[in-house]
Amino acid sequence: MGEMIRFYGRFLTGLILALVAFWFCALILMPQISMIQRAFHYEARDGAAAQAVLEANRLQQRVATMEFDIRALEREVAAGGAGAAPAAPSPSNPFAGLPSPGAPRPGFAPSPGGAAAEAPEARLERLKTEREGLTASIAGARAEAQRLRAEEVAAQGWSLRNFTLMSPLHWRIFGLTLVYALCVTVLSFLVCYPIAYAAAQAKTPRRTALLLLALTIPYALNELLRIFAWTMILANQGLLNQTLDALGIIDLSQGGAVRWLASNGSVFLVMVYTYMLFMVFPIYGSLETLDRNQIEAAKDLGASSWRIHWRVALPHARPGVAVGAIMTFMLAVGSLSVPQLVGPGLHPDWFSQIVNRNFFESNNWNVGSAQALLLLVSCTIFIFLVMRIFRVGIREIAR
Amino acid sequence: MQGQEVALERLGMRFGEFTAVEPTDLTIKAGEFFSILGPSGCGKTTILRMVSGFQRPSEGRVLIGGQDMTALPPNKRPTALIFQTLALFPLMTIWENVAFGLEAQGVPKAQRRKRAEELLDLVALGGQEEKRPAQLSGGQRQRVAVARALAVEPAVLLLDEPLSALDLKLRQHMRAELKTIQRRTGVTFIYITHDQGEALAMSDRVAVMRAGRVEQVGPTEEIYNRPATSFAATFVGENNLFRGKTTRAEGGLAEISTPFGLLRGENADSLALGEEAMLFIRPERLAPARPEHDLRLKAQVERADLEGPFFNLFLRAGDQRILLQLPNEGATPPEGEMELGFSSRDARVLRAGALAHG
Amino acid sequence: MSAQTKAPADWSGVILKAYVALFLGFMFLPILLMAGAAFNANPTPSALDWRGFTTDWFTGRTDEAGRVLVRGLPQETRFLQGLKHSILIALGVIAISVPLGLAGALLLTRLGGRATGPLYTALVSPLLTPGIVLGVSTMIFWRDAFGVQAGLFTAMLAQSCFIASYCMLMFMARLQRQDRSLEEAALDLGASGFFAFRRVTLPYLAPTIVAASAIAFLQSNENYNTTFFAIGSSWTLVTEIGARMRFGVSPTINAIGVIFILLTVVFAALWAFSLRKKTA
Repeated sequence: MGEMIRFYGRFLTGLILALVAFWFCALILMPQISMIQRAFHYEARDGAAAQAVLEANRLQQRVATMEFDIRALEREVAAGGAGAAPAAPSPSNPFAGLPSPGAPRPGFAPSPGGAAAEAPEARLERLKTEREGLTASIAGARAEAQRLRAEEVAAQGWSLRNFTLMSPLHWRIFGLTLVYALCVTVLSFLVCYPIAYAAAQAKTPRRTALLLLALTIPYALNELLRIFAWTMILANQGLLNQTLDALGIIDLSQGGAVRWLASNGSVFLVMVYTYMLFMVFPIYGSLETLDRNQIEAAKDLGASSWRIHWRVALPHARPGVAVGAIMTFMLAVGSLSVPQLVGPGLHPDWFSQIVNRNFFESNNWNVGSAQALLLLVSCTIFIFLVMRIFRVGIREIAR
Repeated sequence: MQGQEVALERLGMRFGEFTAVEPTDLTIKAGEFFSILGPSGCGKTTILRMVSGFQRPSEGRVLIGGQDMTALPPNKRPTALIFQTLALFPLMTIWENVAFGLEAQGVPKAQRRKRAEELLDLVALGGQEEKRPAQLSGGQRQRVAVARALAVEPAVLLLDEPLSALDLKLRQHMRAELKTIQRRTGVTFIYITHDQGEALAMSDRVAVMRAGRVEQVGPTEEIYNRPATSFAATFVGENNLFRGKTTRAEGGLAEISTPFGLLRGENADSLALGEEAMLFIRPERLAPARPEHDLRLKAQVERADLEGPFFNLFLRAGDQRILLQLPNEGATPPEGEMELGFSSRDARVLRAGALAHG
Repeated sequence: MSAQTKAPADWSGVILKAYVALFLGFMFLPILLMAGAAFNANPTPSALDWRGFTTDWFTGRTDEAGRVLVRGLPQETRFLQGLKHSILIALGVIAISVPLGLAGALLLTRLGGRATGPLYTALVSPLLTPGIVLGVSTMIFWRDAFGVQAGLFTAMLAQSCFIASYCMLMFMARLQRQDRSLEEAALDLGASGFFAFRRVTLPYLAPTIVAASAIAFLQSNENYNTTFFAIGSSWTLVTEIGARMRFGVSPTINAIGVIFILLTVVFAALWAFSLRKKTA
């Protein structure tokens, strides 16, 4: 630090430090902390307590209608009641038919058919006892609601609930997404390694440049447009099905279209295509430094191509492969665009789509944060694993 | 421009466990051409960086013109440094390079330009103002670096092996030129080099350094003719070495016993009897035995290389290798066994110690 | 002997060549199809079901009364607005991430010592973080801490976070090739740290500043995942294309693609031209 001040003077050093501090704190660290805060902060929504309160309110309403009936009956009884039609209890009791789970429920079921036969006095008695029973249940329901509420309030705040309450389906999707991303990474490596090798070992620099240019040009196009181009190929009436039709393998006119879209296969394919450069260029970068003579020497010693790659080229490409794998995995696991656009209707979703829904559809940010945090953690673990397996350091990774 | 005295007081530099420069006292006189000579890694560049202010010493002080500069950054010191790489600004023209120091001081452009032209004339580069460094030859770039450093009117000019990138002819030419510029400007020059020929040719005085320590300081003739340590004796110029134990020490002379009998030389380290000693004799002081030589030995000529004005004769006596410089007087060099001689006045006996070449 | 060892090598060469050719087809076929569909009158984007050449998807078509017959780019106001937003965000991203990247690179190359390792890791970490996480965390932070609703501003910051890392790596590569003694020489000649930086280091970095700005601009415009989460109810050209792709496609998207391709070709040509001029 002292040397920096000697070099750049106090003003410039201060400015540099301030900028880096802003970058690190305001753009990197604090947002992550906010997200982690939310991930470990449980927010009670539509919980059991709310249900209990709802139930109590429902009972309260029933008591109120009952009061109304009782008063009517009382008037009727007082008037001698002869010939008077009984007040119909059924329309005044709209909740009777609804099931109300979770709350104590007396066996009250008004039967309009029987009501006519019943004497008004008897009915009045029955209603009064029932009202008493109901009032007691209301008190019980309210107490229960209060207890649940207190429990929920206690559960709010710091907890692991956002993770523990995540449905098994979502956990399964999370696991599957990791597996899928791994598949994409491996596929991408298999597709890209020969290309990187061809570019690095091309006979003339001109050829290398041309090949690299050819690789880069499609990337001038936006990621989404690249995906879009593929949906045109994979669509039911797209190029692929039309080709198969022309070859007589399927018959489009008979509705024999193969549904390519909305399958994991197409998502993999499009992902490999979309994120290919992140695999090609790192591998190219490390293969480029491989001395061509080494390969010539190995050939001279009679090594097969397979052996040359396995023993000479691949070990040399190690850092590049590590970088490519990390970047591809990270992009695949967090990719929203490809599953969203290639696979609408794909079941199950990719994890990124679940996160998306939690933020923008069910407005459940804390759970969404927890899920985003899972993505972040899995990427971090993956990076460490790759660094360990490929024996490379962080300096070699981010170049 | 007026040169100033540079004084190092117990100046030392330690990097953790490693000592780059041991605490050193050294005074460089105002207006002197002073060289620090030593092999790479001996700490000479560290001293230079401490004097120019790029490195803070871990102990001691640097005084320039009697003022303590230890805490000042490089841009507050009356020194200018000529880098080994020259460090000319590649994106600026020659005159902008030369005037950079003035620009930093806020001198108006017209004045800067005028001063740059004067300085470029001084280093014989008039008319090259608008070129860029890449368009100049090595020697020209060298001179631009000197002009740029002189533009800020430094009291002390520090040169970090600036000639090492040049070829031999140009190097010799630039030696003379630097010396002339130094005389003309009167600025104190501190010249860092590992090339003893360069140091001897240009300097008023030389400091010989080894492993972070100054082994000898003195005028060039003294460094060459009366080296103070075995290292200085072998690092500066060629020298023949005979090892042995002191058998006699009297009258300023020491006698050592060697496989070739007893040899004598000036007892420079006041050696006592029985001490391990080294006797040095320059190749040009050795000759085929003549009457005035009080010391003689026999050796076999192995090879004779013509160096132009003289022959290098490589001789061997048992395990001992001997180099002798024989003036080229038109005769063919001797072959087979020959008898050599030298005068004990020309030989120097020093305490056994480190040598320059292993 | 040599024939024996050469034969398999040649075979693998042929296979590699064939693979490269196939691969390039794989790269370019989708692009060609997409470009083709932009000129097809078929309102469902397709290059095969050809219903005649048209440029309506670029220009739109209206009758004399001004009623819209074909919705082309001029009628797609959300696309145009989105483009405006994209450019606005990209300019902001340049203004933020180039200085941040430069500051980070200067600090890391000049600081030395043990602190640089962790600091380096921290500053490149956004590159290794899924975009979704960057977008989400930025949105949350600005709302929770300052009550700022997600929008163009948060999208800009979320993008800057990782684009600054790209810039930093570019600057570091350049600074590591710089001769340190140039700065030292400037200081030695009496320049202040600031003056030396402005007059020596900054001009040296100028080409990288231009390149980093260009990369930042492209990256910003290209980004979908991060922007989608951080932009809230606003939109950029890219998120709008994404939305359109989910709810009914139109060849106007292809038209945009064609424009992108043309712009790229023009810029690449200009770039190559300027390079050639420089070397000449």
